[in-house]
Amino acid sequence: MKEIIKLSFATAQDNFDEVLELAGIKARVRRFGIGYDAELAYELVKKLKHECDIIAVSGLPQDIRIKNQHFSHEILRNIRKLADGIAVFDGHALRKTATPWAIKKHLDQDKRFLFKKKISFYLGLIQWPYLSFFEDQEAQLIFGDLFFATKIPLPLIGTNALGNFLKLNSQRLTHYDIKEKSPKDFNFGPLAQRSMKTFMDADVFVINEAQLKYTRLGNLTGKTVIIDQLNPETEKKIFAAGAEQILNLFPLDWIGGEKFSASIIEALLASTHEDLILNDEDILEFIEKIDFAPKLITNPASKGSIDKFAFVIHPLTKNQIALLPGMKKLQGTRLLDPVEKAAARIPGFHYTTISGIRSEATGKEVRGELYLILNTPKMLLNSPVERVYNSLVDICMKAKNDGAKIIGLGAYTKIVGDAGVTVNERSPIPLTTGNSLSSASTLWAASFGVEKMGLVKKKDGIHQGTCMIIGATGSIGKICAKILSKQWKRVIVVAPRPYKILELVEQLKAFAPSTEIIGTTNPNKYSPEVDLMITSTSAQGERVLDIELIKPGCVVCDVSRPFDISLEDAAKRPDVLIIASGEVELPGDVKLGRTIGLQGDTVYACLAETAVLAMEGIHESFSLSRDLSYEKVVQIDRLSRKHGIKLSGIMGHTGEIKENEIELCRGIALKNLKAKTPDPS
Amino acid sequence: MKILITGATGFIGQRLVKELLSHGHDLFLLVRPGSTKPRLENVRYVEGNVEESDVIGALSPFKKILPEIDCLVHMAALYDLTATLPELYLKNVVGTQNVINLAKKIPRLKYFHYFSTYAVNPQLKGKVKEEELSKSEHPFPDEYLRTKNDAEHIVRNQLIDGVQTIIHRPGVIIGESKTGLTDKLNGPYYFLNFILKLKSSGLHHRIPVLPLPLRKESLLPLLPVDTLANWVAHIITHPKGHKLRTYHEVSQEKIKTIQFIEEGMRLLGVERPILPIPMEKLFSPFFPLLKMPPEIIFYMQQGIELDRSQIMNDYPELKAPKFSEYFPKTIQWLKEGHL
Repeated sequence: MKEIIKLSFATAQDNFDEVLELAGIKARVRRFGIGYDAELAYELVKKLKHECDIIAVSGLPQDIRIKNQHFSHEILRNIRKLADGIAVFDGHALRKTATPWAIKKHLDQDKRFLFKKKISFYLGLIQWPYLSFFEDQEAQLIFGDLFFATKIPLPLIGTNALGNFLKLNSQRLTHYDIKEKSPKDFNFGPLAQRSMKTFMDADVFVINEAQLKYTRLGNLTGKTVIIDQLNPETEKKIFAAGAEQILNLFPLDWIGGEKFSASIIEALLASTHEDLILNDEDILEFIEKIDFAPKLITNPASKGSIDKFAFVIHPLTKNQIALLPGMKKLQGTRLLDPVEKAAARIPGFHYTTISGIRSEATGKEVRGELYLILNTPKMLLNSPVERVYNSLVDICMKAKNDGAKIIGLGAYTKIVGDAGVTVNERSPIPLTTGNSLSSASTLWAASFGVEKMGLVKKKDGIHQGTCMIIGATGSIGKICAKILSKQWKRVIVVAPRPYKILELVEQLKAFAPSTEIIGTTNPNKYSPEVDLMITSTSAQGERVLDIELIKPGCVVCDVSRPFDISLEDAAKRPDVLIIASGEVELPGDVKLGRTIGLQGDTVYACLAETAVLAMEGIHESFSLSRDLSYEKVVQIDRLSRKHGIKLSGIMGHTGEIKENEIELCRGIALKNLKAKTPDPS
Repeated sequence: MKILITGATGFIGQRLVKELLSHGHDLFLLVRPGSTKPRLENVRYVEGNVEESDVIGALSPFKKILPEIDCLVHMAALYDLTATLPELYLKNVVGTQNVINLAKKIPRLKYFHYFSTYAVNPQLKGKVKEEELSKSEHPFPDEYLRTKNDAEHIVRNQLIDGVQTIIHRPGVIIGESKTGLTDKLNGPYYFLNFILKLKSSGLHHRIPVLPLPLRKESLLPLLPVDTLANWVAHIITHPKGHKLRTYHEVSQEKIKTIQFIEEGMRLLGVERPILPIPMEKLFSPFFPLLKMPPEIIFYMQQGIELDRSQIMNDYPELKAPKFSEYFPKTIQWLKEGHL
């Protein structure tokens, strides 16, 4: 069995003398804490080199290779010299590979974790060998090395700047005193605060455990910290600085406890070879064998803090542009047309803030930052898709800089191109179209309408009537069919292609065995029997059914855009309640800075979805593209109820449907129904 | 009991050996190979070096005594405030690790006694329990304490199966209670030397009060050296069967540092009131000028009270002589100028 001496520069305590075993390799390891005293390390090496096969050291600056130059800290050089032929490992060969690999493991879970972020490195030279990994994430890299080495409060921006700095200061860096007397303090005074603003403004901060001992972090409120190893003390320190979350790359339990440091692992791996030389293959093989699981920890104190989400809105008509300050005089003039075109070129900007949104379930407060792009639907749909994408990505960047964790697309912005997919790929924060909650809230509106009309009886929670879904094989239609098949006694699904209907009917029968499921290609055949009708087609405005045949008192939910039921058709049937969507109210003492075109505190359901995701802490692209999933709709429906989202208004083709309008509709329907049924007397 | 002792030739060790012999134990004293120190007749000597990974070399003829040993007392340590960190570390930290490895090789070992110090927790404040051991990132006041703290961590973290570990934390050691005899004028003697100097300079006639960098409530955890030897021998002879026990070996009497100095002044005939100024930083730069080691600050400023519950619980019979009884002898011995 080989003997390893481990000299740990960063910590003084926790010495041990044990046989450690890693992946079947056993060796005796004697660990001595040096506490940054080089002389002590030299004396121990002199004394102990005769008693060991390998020396492992940790807590020293690693060797750096920049182009053809190779720098090595003098202490490490001296130790190598004193070791007199005994192999010395410092753990950096393993870190060079394992660190980016561990971060990559986390990126598999959260691919946006570093994407386009600003990343500050307290001491970049330590991470030098794998900085390119961060650059691959299109991240902006900022380094505190100049401040660390010279106390000059200026950040180095970009890897080139760091490279030049390291080359110019190679002498100094290889001799600098690792025994830190006073900690490096990143709590800057007023002047340095300004010059180091770029550094402190970053989204992500990278530091290692040894460095953290002599660094005061500064204010990291809401930021993310990446650290190689975390113990309870360092965790406390980072969270005390206000950090929102910590990515712990190598949790202590990763291979069996804190006794295994990178240098000991290297020494153990090398000990299997006769010549005690460590090969790249050893490291690769080891990393493959070990199941890496970096851990993301959220600050327990931040539950009370306010998370932000962003949302994009735009004017729905050119007249709304004229509502902006200074534009009043344009109202109704011909000048409005060129203004509409010109406005579409203006980059999006922050429009207003929705504050005071507070979850009823958890008390978590979130804030919405609303961004406006001055594109009317016409401009959005007629401009080159790439241009619209770019202006939306631009807003995503702004939202990220303002601290938003997720962004939602409002109104027509989610219709453009591939419905969010491309913008999401390019955005530094996750994006959602909000379509899942839009669908759920439409069903809430439908059920509210049915309730208000009061023409369908309910037994054991099941509506004793018929509902029909037109376009049932489409993405939204299928979801509605699934949900309604659990709530109605009889469900009729309509679609143009019979084979698709057969498949759907089969699925629904399995899903809701006690419900009567009928499939058809012709809605008119059954429409006189239907109490609730959902139309979700891509008929592009073409007539899908004969409005005259619909049963009086029926509730029709027109989910399609453009609408399936034209305005003229709708006007023909005052006894039918036609709903376009359900809009909602956010929980808490909500304050809207400026109007978003809805009454009172009512907001779009898609905005509410973004808010719910923020309240729940789900920072992922929840709804994307035109395809929705049943699971997501059910999930967002549940989460929305949990956090206290309520239906506040049902919208018709021309705006909100008032209570008395429903009353009126019900009156006419009752009359017409009576006229239709032959009087038994 | 057959006891192997490291560091038995020191100030405390010599007295402990006597006490243990009077209890009828067989003693084996570890000495460096080739040591020329005078040897006692009624003990056996074992050659070895705690600074070596193998304390008693693999080929050493002394190895054959190991199966006989049932108790190991490790009191070898370097206590020298002028020593460098590597010297202190090799003796105190590496040495303790090596002795533990030696202990693991003793097949019938039942007891392991380790000598720490009352000052092993310099960063703690208030009442310090016997089982407490600071593990702090903060710097230690001196390298000696740092190495003693590291070493006690090693002892606590590496308990040996089937062996009872007893950690002794003696307080501030003062000369023998019956004679006042001491062989080093360190620790609290600096205060007394200071008063003697003051007296010989005649300065005390010209100052109305004596300002000292002192906290009024600072305690001086004193114990005469013969009392300590007596206690430890008693504890070794009467084990209590705990897997791990730590004892603060200090007098049951609470003596304040200011009380110690005032009493010393009175006995030495320098009667001036003391003005305690609790501002360590203001005074510490002058300490080297006064030839006072920085550790003195620790006695003057520490806000630590050493809890005695474990030793009181296990050995209520151990009582230190009264300060008022032995202190005049300490002063007398000093006045006579033996050193």
